[in-house]
Amino acid sequence: MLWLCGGSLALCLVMVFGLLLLVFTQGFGTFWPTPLVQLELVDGTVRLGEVTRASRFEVPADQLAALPEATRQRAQARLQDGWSERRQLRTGNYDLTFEHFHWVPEYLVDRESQPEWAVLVERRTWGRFYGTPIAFKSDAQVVATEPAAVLERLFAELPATHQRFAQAAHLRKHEIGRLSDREEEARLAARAVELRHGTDSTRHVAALADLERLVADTAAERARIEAEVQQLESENRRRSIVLRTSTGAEHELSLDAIVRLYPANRLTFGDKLAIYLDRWHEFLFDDPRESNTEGGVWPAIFGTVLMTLIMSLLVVPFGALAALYMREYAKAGLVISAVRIAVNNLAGVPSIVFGVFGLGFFCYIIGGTIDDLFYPERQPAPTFGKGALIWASLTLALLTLPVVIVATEEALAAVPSSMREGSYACGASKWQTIRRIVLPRALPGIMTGAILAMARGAGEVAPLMLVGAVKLAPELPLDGEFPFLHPSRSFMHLGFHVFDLGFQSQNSEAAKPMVFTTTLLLIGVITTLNVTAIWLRSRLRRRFVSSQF
Amino acid sequence: MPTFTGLQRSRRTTRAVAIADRVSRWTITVGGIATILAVATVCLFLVYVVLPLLVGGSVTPAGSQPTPAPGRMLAAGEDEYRRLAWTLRDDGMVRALVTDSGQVLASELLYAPAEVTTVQVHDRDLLLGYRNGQVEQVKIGVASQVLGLGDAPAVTHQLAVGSTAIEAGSLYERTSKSTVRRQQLEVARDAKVALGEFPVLHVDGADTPNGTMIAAVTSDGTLHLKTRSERMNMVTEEVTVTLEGASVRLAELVPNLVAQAPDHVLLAGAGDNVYLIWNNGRLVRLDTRSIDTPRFAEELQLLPGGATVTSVAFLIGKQTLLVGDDRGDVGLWFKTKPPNATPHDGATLVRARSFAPAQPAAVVSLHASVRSRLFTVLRADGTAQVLHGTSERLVAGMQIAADDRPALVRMAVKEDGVLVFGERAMHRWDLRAGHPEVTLASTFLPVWYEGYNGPEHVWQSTSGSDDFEPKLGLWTLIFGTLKATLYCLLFGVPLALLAAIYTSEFLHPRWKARIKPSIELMASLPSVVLGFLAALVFAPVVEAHLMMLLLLVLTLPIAFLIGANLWQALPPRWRTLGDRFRLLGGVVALPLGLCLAMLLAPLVEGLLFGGDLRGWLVTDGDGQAARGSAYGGWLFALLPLAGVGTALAAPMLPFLPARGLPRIGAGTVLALGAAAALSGLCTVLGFDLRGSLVGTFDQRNSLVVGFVMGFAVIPIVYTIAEDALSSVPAHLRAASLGAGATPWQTAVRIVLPTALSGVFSAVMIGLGRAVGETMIVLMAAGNTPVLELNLFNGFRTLSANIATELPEAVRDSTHYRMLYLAALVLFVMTFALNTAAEVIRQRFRKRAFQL
Repeated sequence: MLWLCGGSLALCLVMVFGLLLLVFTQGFGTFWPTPLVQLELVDGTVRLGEVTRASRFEVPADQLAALPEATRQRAQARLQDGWSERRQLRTGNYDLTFEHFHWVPEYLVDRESQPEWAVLVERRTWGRFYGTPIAFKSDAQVVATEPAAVLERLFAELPATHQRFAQAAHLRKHEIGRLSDREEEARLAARAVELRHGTDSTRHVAALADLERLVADTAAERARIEAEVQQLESENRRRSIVLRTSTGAEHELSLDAIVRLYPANRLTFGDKLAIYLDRWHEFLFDDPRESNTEGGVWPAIFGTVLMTLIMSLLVVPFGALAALYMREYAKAGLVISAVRIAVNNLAGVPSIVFGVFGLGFFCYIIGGTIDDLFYPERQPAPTFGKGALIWASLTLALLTLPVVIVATEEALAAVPSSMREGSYACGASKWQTIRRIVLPRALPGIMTGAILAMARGAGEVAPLMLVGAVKLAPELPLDGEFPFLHPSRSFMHLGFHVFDLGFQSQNSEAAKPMVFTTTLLLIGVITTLNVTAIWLRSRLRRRFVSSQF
Repeated sequence: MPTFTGLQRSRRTTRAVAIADRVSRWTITVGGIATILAVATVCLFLVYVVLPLLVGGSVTPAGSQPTPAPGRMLAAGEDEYRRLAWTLRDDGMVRALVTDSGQVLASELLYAPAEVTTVQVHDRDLLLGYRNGQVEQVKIGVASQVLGLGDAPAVTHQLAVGSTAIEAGSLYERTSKSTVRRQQLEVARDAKVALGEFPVLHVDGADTPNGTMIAAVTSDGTLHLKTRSERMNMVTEEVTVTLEGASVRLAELVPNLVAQAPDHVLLAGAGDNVYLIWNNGRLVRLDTRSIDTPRFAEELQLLPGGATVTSVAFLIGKQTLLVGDDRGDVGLWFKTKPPNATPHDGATLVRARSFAPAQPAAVVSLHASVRSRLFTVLRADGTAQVLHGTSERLVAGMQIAADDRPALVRMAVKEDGVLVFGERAMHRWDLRAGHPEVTLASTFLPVWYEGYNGPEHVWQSTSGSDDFEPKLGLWTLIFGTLKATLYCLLFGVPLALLAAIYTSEFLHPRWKARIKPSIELMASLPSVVLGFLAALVFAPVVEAHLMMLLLLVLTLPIAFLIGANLWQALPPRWRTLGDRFRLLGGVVALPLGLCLAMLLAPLVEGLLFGGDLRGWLVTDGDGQAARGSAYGGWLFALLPLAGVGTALAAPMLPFLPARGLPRIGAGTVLALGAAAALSGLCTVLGFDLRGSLVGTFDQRNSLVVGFVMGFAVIPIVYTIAEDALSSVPAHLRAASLGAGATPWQTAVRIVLPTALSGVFSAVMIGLGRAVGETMIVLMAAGNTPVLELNLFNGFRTLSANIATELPEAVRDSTHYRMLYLAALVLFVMTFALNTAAEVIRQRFRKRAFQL
């Protein structure tokens, strides 16, 4: 029995570390460039791609029977008791083949090679492309045909192309966006005047005239910017490369469609490391592409951090106030201990219940009232009366309140009453005692509570699904536009990102690596917070142990 | 006063300090209480949203207007704004009445009374049967049109918003500053169709994909079934009406037909059945799915002897028949498909419910809402009721003035009013129906929904079709929650408790300081991560290696036992030296168990489950197993139980060898034998695990969820239980060890019982977490609301249901409030569990202090 107990503990540990190991290896391994494998099958088809998985399977008889007589002999010879290995290749080229992945049974493979000049292209749309470069075109003229020369030209041109692309994107998003915002504001102002003074009142007519003038003004500006964008894009489109796929089809790619390209089988370790780090950089700091399955998670990181920060700004002061009241001011009695039990229990109430509360109370009732009072011109589109950053933060603040209250109370209780009495004896008032004696001693404890609350808040997803986290937010909730912080915007969240990618994505197989890296990131953030809390707590304990006399 | 420091000491508190003290006292008190109140709001708000579900509807009288007109009332209606009503009396006149005043706005002669033999309401249309054998479909309604102020007549220009004026047979209502609504009576007639030369006695219609279907009985005893379709010639724009179908003599169709013609002929659903009803309660159901060859399906008696049918009507969807009789009862009948049905189409009509009056009085009129399963019933004593056909809730009751005789009742289109026509007057009520489809009973008890064979628990909140009835039974979801909790605890609790005992009693303190935080770290793993791993990583693994994983439950303990015995076989000196590394031994034993399971898996699968475990598990809809014998399952399930039983009973069995491997061997043989014998017994008795605890395999199943949710629950249970065990005073242990007990005996007989309440509260808190877990379940449980304990299929929990449905629920709708009720149930469940745990823990603390 003793061994069973020990075994249970061992099993728990193995489970924890196995799980972490799985996430770590998968998460860290995703971005490492792997070689491109070309497989030639008995039926003459050729497939090129990255090996993603391997397994064993029992070959169905009809699959064998479907083979022509000549090849069947060869294939059958490679079978082991009717079983065969198989490998999953990521073959990409979705716009040509309509599949991202392909399982290749090993018994059908005649020849396997790693073509020297096979390249992997990460594209802005349609996912990855695998092929061999055969030409570089400039203004529709072929200027290079040797793979080495093509790649040399390409790598020389790519940075400038990317720069132009970024510039065009910036113009389109910020400059044109700014114009649209101005128009929208004027339209809303006109609507507000209409609501206040009535349709076709003199003020309304004036506001409409203003609006028209503004639209006319911005039209010229908009045309200028659009021309600039056009110019940048046509400059980008002048250069392209031609790739030959494993099936022999030739495909032309404009340079601005390429995010990253590398000849996977010619990379040195240094090259691989550079690509690996570059991919991490893209992952951490770029916007997502291809319905979140590629690109980066910067908006999600940003949203998570911002939401957690606002939440802590709300929860820590109020939690500390409640704890101070319960510990220092309220008379200890049945009511307070009942409240204490209730607060303790709230920590165990499912988070989804808080989400339900947040949706009904914050979004619909409070948000709806704010909309009615302050944004009548935007009706019926809700401004605050929907999921929003502020409501998500408030909901999570409520959810984590018990954590902070309990931690703060424990910290306050751990301050020896002899110290308080000493302070009173010296003539200090109650507030002076709390501020100068109690709070400084309790501060590490309060901080532990705050960090634990942050860790819990950052990892919660269920309530956020109801009160503001979205799959794809067009704008960050914090930007250079006045008033800088936009509490009514929806936001992206790492946890929700994991849920969305892993569960609701169309192409969950291709999304899987992204999920693992996002998971790794989320676990990293939360573990860091938790480890800090544990470290603080142990320091706190040590301090109290040493200060006992 | 001179001081040592030379500073002047003030004896009075400075004002700044006093003010700061007061301000802080107020801030903290107000802030603290407000925070605590905010937390309390959560629960109160849930109750606030849920409460309207349980409050019934209400009616307020909206006046009575005399309606002097000759003749008997045949049909009536009201427009959706409840401004105009129309009536059809047996003088053939249609009259439009202004509901506020009773004034006749317009009237039109629909037919000469002598010509028409029957009038039947079909949806919002009327079907007229003529003496000369013709049938006509007439649409009577109120045409509403919104006009700009400029287009409206001058009388409307002075009207206040909301008031009305009458001009030239139209009713005008000022709806806003700039708009006016014009309403007038509209009668649209389709071309008559001829069924034969005999007078039409009864006629009913139904909408089918091919056009309107008509069922009529003529006085010569013939049933005509016709589909009426219109085709427009593209060139001439001429409409040709075609009539297809059969005419059958009733005497040939129905066995034992009594001479007289039926009193009601109804066409059910989309024309798939014809009901012939006689006033003595006899009903004949004809199968008319094939319009050319109608068949007799069944005959039954709707009423007990002596009672008379006085009124019949369909609920929305025309599947449920309401039958009112002269005692005042309203019976609710619909078709079910029981396995033993005798009619050729496998279906039979049953009475699912009946609504009895407080005072017996014949049913005069029935009318069903066009929006939901609400209906109104009017009785001869002048009482009217609004009832719900599924939840049986009495939404409201009304009574017309004593000097009037009730004739007809109509439910408003938007369910916001009830209109009762007496012989002298029209009586109106404003109705607030509330949420009539939900009662406490319909939420938690099985409900007999239309078309089901009996009362069932169903959660099905949305569907594509319009006349779909939302089925909101929370029990399936609660069951799903409990199922998730059960399987999660079955896996997690033993593991966590055993690990806690080992950590607190046997682990070296230095190791403990490292191991405990790392398991606590597991608690902070976001559940969305666990859910993702469960759904995309573990579920495929479980699917591929099911047998092996199940075998692990057996082989892992066996591996540990083997490890223990090898350990015992070591020389004592080595054992003392290696004591610290015993945990590592456990880690080494794990792969041993894994290998054992891998080796045994094909063998066991072949021996017990016919070589294919998943195939063996397949059960059909009724839970009947398809393949193999039940024996294997029993043996597999009973083996661990027999093992534990043998281990417990071993001290009482003197014939076992005293110690070492022989004892283990003998025990194993004994356990195997016991399990084999018991399984044989169960199989012979005809019990089968399939269909209850196990069944057809789904990829998203309880096994995966239980395993992964264990990750979420183990750390909590482990930490709290370990705290409780560690806080047992050391002197108890010392005394026990001093009295000669082994460490294991001390742990199990002294420490564990002392800490039992603390350990129990740990389990309760783990239970609370499992109940509310959302993301794991949402991603890995498949989310089908089924009521099966089957380990290998999915379920839908309260929390996952809220997460999926709440974003789409319309605010303040019944569905929305039901989801709040689900949240409230979750809240109450976890709150109760946690409070119980807290109370137990307090008691434990008190006891621990006493020791």
